[in-house]
Amino acid sequence: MMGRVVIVGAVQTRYEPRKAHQAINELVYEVVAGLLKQTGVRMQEIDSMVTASQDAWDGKTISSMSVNEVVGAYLKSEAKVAADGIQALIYGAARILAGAFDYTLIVAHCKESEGQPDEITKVMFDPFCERPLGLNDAVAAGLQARRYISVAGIDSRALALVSQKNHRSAKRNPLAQRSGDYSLDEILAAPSFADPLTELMAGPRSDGACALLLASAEKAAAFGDRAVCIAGMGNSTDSYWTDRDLSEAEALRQAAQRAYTKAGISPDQVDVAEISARYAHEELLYGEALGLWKREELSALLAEKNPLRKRTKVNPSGGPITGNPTTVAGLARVAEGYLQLAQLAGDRQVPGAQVAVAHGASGVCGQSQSVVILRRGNA
Amino acid sequence: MAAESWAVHQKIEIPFQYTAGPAVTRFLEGLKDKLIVASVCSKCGRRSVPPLSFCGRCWRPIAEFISVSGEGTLLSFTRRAGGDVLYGMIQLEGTDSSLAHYVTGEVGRLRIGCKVAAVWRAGRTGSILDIEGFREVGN
Ligand SMILES: [Zn+2]
Repeated sequence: MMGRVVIVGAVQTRYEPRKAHQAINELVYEVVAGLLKQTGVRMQEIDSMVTASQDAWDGKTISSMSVNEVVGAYLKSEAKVAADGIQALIYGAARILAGAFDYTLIVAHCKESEGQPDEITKVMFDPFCERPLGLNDAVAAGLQARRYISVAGIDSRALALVSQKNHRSAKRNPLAQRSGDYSLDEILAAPSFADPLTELMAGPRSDGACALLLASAEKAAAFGDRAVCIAGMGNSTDSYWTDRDLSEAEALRQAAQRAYTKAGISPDQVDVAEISARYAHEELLYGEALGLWKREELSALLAEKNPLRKRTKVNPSGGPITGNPTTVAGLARVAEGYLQLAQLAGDRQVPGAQVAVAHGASGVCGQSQSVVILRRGNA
Repeated sequence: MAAESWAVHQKIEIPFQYTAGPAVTRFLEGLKDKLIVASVCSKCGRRSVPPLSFCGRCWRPIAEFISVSGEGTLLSFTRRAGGDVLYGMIQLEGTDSSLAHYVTGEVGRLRIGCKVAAVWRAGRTGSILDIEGFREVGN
């Protein structure tokens, strides 16, 4: 088991297609101010912050400069990661485990409405052999989705079931951008995104931010049940997307194994899993890599009245398919896991949840994978 | 004072000259002559197209390059909504990686696992676009 670091609060904005009334710093101020209010911690007590943002999405290099003031970094120790916010959280936890800080503030933001997603994600690709073809994240998602369902022996109806389940769950999440009771036919007949994915099988363009506060074990005691222990963390990075099997998620399998081992927890003890699946096939692929089910079981699990429900409730928030911007999505998974274990999840509360797994990914077709395991209580 | 918030429109344009390095240079140069160059890792033997100058799995530089067939297997395909091209992932014969490119021909005939072959453009310049795309040549 690793040393002790706890989460003592988590706040997200509502996720919306376009927050035209807030610039990036105002968006971030909303979650930081909300977090101080929720935790009762004063900004003067926080001397460390790790932010997550991406220059290409913000249209600005050193994109953290837009938020330094509002995260309270004035003359303090701030660092930025240009990847999913879950990596900022893992870095921030390491700062606390090192004994260097009592509190670390973790914040991720993105306004996908400001730039042009297809153009921005083009810049991720190799400039020599890929960019001239116009490849972007949507195309890569369509390619991976078709490859995965073919190898797994399922069809686009399975993808529709994932979408249906999540949009139904999101009805209980007041922060979700998109929710509702969609029929499978509606999902399958929605406008194409990148076939076999339809627009209802792909997370919509979204604006939002998320902030969490990490604390040392000594500080945690004062927070009672609102302190949730980070029991394990794991990272793993795979080969570039064209140099690996896209129907597998080996990096996630390894990241999960590292996290489970550190936590001393096995997948069958997980009550809630929040999976970063912007695209429907990712939930199936990543859930398998997290040890929540086996590929052979998929067809049967999808046919259940509560699809994909064994012991673990998967994405009670609705997940990124219902709207979470890039960079924020994985950190929001940790926030949702925290809210579940702190019994603060409102209508989407999974009763009695004791253990949660949160997952985040970065890069083309999830090249880098991160897993954070949370356990109720601060012991 | 109005309570609304303005949006300011701008466009960032930054010309780059990306250094291709020896492996990719070989690949681009080969395309002019309808050759597809793959890298071979001397430790694990993995053959990759586009060629790599470094095997991340074995953590060692790659010095061996071979030319491989323009025929391969279609691993996947998709069309981005609103786009007019079809994208595919192609595993070229004798290689272990996949190459993303356009797939041409009749969409209805495409199946995962079908055989495809490179269609070369005339007047090649040493660009990935020297290959027009990959055409289905048999299921
Ligand atoms: Zn090797």
